Amino acid sequence: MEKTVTTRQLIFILILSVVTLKVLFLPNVLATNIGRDGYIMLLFLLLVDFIVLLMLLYLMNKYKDMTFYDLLCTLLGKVGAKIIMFLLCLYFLTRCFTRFQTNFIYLNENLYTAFEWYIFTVPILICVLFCVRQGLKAFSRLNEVFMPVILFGFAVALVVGIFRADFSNALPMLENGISFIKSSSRYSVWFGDYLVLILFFGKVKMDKKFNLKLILSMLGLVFSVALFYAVFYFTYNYNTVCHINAISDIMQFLPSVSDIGSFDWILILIWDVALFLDLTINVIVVTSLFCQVFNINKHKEVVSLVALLIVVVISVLMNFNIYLSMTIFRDYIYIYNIIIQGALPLLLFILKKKKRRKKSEVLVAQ
Amino acid sequence: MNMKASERAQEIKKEFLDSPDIIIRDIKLGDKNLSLVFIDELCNIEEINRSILFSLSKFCEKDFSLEALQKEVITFCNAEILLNEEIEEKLLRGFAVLFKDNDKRALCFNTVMYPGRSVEEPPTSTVISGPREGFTETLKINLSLIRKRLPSKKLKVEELSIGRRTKTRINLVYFNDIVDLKVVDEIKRKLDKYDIDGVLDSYYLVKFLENRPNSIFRQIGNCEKPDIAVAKILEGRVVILVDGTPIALTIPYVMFEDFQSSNDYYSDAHRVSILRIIRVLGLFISIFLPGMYIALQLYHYKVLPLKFLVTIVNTTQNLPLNPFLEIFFIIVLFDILFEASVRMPKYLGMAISIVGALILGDTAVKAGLVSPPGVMIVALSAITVYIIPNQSSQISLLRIVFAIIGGTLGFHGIMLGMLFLLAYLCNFDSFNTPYLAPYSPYIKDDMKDFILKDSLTTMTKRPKSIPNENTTRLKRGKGKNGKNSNN
Repeated sequence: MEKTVTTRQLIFILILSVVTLKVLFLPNVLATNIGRDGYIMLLFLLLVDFIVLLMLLYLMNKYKDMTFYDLLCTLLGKVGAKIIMFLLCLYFLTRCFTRFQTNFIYLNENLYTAFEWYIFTVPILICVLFCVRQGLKAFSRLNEVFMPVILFGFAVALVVGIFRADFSNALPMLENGISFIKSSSRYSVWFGDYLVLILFFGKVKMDKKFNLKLILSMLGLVFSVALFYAVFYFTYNYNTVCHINAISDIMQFLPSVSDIGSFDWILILIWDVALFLDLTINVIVVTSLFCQVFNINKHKEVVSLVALLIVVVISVLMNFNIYLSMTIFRDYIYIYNIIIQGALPLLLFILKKKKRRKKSEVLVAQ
Repeated sequence: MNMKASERAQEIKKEFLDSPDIIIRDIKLGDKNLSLVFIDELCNIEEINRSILFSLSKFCEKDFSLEALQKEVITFCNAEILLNEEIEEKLLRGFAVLFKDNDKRALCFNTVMYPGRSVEEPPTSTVISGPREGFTETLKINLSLIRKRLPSKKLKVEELSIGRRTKTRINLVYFNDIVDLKVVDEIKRKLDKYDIDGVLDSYYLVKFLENRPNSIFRQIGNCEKPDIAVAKILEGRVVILVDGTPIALTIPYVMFEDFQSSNDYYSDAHRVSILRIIRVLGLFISIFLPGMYIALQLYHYKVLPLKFLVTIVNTTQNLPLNPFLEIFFIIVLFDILFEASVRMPKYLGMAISIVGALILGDTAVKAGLVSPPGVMIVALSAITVYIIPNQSSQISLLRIVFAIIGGTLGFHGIMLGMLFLLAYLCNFDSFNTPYLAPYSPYIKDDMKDFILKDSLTTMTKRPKSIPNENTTRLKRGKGKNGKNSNN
């Protein structure tokens, strides 16, 4: 199998997956529901996700030259593999939807009134389809081009925030204990980012220190994202609930704003790109999974187009009743997400371990 | 074959449609008749008289063969004995051909002397420091300019001929022990695919060699200076010299090559880094500035600082055109002036620039057709187009595309356009070399000669982005005054 993605590109794609939504609207959601201790919740969920990453990494290392589909076939058989792939396809379709919907909210917030959102979706969809058509190798490179800019934007926002935040707002810590952790499963829609890794099984040129590089960068990211929330909340304290777009709002404290204009616009544009790339990678995953389930080798872009059209139609329907759509996600989709995000990697991990034990037992018996 | 030499010479002349520049000299030598045929304009007549005719006049043998003439009489001019089929081609290349009675073969002498200019500094690649020699239209001179810089037995030169009628000579020049031979094979395979009647310039080959001939982006590098060509050969590239053109092609090509100038390698690395940053900035300004200015005025005026906004509003409030049309009007005006100044005789150039820049521009502003910021934006963008001269045509086109996007979809549209463009470029490979290397995919070692240039002593390896078989470029303490020159 051709190894088309470098370790650095894989790390960048994971960073994109993790960071994009978490520094946009999630801080506002956590601030509204949890408040001051939201960063603990965020850290907890990020670390749970990180454990999923470790399990996936373990599988990736054990089956270096296998695609995820081949791995599933080995562990579950062909039928089981197809079912799981289809379930994953649906899961990533919901992720596409959340990304698309975030684009909608984000651009509605920032888009000038001259354009209707649905007019603007046309160039977005064309651009996504074009990027998907270029393939995973081109996407990895594209993400590699933009990631330094995205990370720079994130770092600038973080540094500006750190200098402006009042860290005394952290106190009193855990005023109501850690009971909020109980509701953590409700936020599953915002997590599960490392599952993107399934697309890269067997396709990564692994460096010598592949695991170390990946784990360290992801750990760094986990703490940075949690710190970002803390900084954001400690800057605005109780008023945080009024600030929807964290990355943009935090920049309003940048010095000499009046001389150089609204600097947060640069970050808005950077996150425009990040959101778009995040949507694209999820569409690529959906396309790839669907094509593997149904053995489609030609005209894969048609699958991508259909996936995007489904997302748009659902988005149109849901925008008629935002409250209902939020309820559906909060009360139902999250269960499905937990199964796919947590239970599936765990199941595969256990199956692999069992298989290994069986193998060693056979060897001992021989 | 019992044919007289003079008859064969006449036959050749007939085949060349009795062209007056086909010269035939009949010579009687002992018992034998000889005929010397050559094309007047392509040969060095002095050489023919001195080396061939004079030598023959001193020859006294009655019976002799062509081999004897070749080895004993006319030992100059790389004489070679050829068969009938090859003779005409040699004649057309400027060789003199000597026929002998009753011999189907002929003795060919290299007496080539094409008219051509001497070695000069190319107008498009002038440098402040470093070598000033440039390629000319003569293949032989161009090859000699490379050879004199690379006195190595490992330097391989392959000659090909392309064009049914022009039979243009092409040289592939590369280091046999450095280049990835797959690249050479790929070049030959691509060139073999086409059978064209004539190749007048290396640009013809560019279109044969490109993977995507309809793309606006260059996929083949070029240069006009032998020092640049040699540097590329040393990096593991193949240089293609084409007879009749001073532009050499270099393969593989990466986009960032055009940000580098030969001057960069003869100047201080820190200074070069700053210049390269300016070039990148120039690229962004030239492509995006007009589009961003339109988007700012139409949709995102809140982004501007208040003082700046007031200045723009004051200068644009009475304009009859909206920002989108205004910028287009100025871009078109500038392109018309540019095209006229390129095509006009040189002595009119000054007048054009006075009429264009001073009178038209100034009057347009005073007449209230365009605003001073608009003129400034387009002027800045137009100047920066030429900061990377090899990419100027692509940049000019992209500038217009992004101006349209900025005018219709604003900043978000520009970002989408940029994504679209980069996604396209990320999928570009020129002979197994990623187009955006070494930035994407990131190649750590090659970053030493990317935007921030490192010192020459740190560049110990050849660029990894260019496929090559021999990675070591610099060995510490092993040079011994060039004794290891073959590596």
